[in-house]
This record gives sequence, C-alpha cells and structure tokens, in this order.
Amino acid sequence: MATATAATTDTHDDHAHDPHATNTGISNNKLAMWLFLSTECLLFGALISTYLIYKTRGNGDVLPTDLFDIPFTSVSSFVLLMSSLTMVLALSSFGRNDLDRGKAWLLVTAMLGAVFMGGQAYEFTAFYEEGLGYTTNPAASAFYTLTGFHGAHVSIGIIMLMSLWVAATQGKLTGKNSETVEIVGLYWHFVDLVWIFIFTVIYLIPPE
Amino acid sequence: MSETTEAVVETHDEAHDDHHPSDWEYIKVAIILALVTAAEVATYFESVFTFFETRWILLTSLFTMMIFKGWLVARVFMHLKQDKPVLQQSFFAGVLLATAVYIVTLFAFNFFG
Repeated sequence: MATATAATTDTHDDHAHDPHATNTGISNNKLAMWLFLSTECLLFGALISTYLIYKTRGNGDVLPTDLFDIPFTSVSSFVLLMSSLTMVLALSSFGRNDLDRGKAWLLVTAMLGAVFMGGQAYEFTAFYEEGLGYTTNPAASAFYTLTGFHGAHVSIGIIMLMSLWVAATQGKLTGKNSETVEIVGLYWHFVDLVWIFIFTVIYLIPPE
Repeated sequence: MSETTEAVVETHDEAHDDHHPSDWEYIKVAIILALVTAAEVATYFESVFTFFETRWILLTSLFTMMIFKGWLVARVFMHLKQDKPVLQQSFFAGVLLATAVYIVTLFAFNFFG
C-alpha cells in the first residue's frame, strides 16, 4: 500500500512539474508546429499547382524549363537532404545531453542550408542573365514565387538554427529542453520534404 | 525497488528508446534517401530516359520515388513512427486536403488535358 502510494505521488509530482503535461500528452508547442506544417501543405500546394498551370505560358519568351540545370540542382537537393540528417543528429546529441556535439551539428545544418541558399541565388542570377526576370512571363512569375517562398522558408530555418546555437552556447539550451530543438527540427525536415516534391514535380518531370 | 516501480521505469525506458532511434539508423535512412535521389536524377540522362518507353512509366517511377522519400523523412526524421497518432492525423489531414483541393484545381484548369 505504502509503495503504491509512493509510486502514485511520484507520478503526480512528475506531472505537476512537467511543463508539457497536457490533455493529449503532447506538448502544445509541438502540436502547434504540426498543425502549422499541416497548413503549410496548402500554401505550397497552391504555389506548386499555380506553377503547373502556368509553366508553358511563356508568351514567346524563354521558359524556366529551358534553363534548368538538373545536375546543379541535384547537388543542391542532395545538400538539403543531408541537412535533414545533420538536424536529426543534432537532436539526438541534445537528447543524450551531448551539448558540444549537438551545437556542432546545428552549425553544420545551418551551413548546409546556407549552401542550398547560395545555390538558389546562383540559379536565380543565371536565369536573370538569360533573360528570365520575375515579370517576363506567367511561367517565370510562378517559378520565382514558388522557389522564392521555399527559399524564404529555408532562410527562416537558418535563423532559427543559429538562434538555437546561440542559446546553446549561452547555456540556455540543454538536454532538458531539447524539445525546442525537436520543434525547429520538424520545421527544417518539412522544408526538406517540400523540396523533395518541388525537385521531382518542377525540375525532374520533363516537358511533354 | 517494488515491482510496480520497476514496471514503470521499464515502460519509461522503452518509451525513451522508441523516441530515440540510434544515429546509425538515421545514417542508414540518409543513405537510402541519397540512393533514391540518385535514381531519380538518373532518369534525366538520355540513356536512362530512353529506358522508360512511355511517359507514364517514367512519371509513375518518379512519383513513387518521391512519395517514398517523403514518407521516409516524415516517418523517421520527423519521428511520426514513434509519436502519438494524433500528430500523424493532423499532418496527413493537411496533406490530403491540399492534394484533393489542388488536383480538383488542376482539373478545373484543364491541366490534365
């Protein structure tokens, strides 16, 4: 009886001091991030379908599909894909309370994201020099809007990663509050997930 | 330590393990993702492209690889495999809604001919 009471008290205390105890058993922040990502599917769905509708409307000018450099974009895609691995390794390190390694992986993830953004900047510049401006034709507008929105998401992700790195360096982020890393990680993986779809649907499927 | 406490600790440990696949497991998934990406990119090159006799075989292959990659990232890297089903349901509700809405939109704009 005494043991059972002690066990009940422990459980009660755990819940009382657990800042994430909720009715669903999932922290509100994590649930909110998943719901946010769910709505992001609608945003990117709209941008992808808009591009698909307008991709052949070039008004006689050059089209984005004429300028795609698939080997170059493949390398960028690979870099972003590998950043998902480094992100999850960062989370794993924080979970083990291995803060130094966690910080290092966060930095590598942010750097890989920056390399991807550098690739996108190079691609946009090359397209512009070939005569494909934002308002050249509907296909160009749809292409730049879609990939630009994705790039903005990657940039926000890099800022969040660097904020985590700074917080970890200042000792504000430890293994105990690694859920913050997990939530930023969810966002980062989602950005990667969206690129998986963009890369196939926009770049790899050849025009008829 | 009483049996009850041991059982609680054991359950907690199992749950902890479930939430943390090993680093090696993540690396294996990343290798699979890299290989599938390489296979996707290979379809771009002429010699491989001609292997796909009709366009629909190429499209089916590309879409299958894309969905497989997305599924792996969501299930392993985003931990949907271990997390509570409500998270999976919330996310896939958005994915399915977006897919349905925009397929209808594409039909409305005669995208599929």
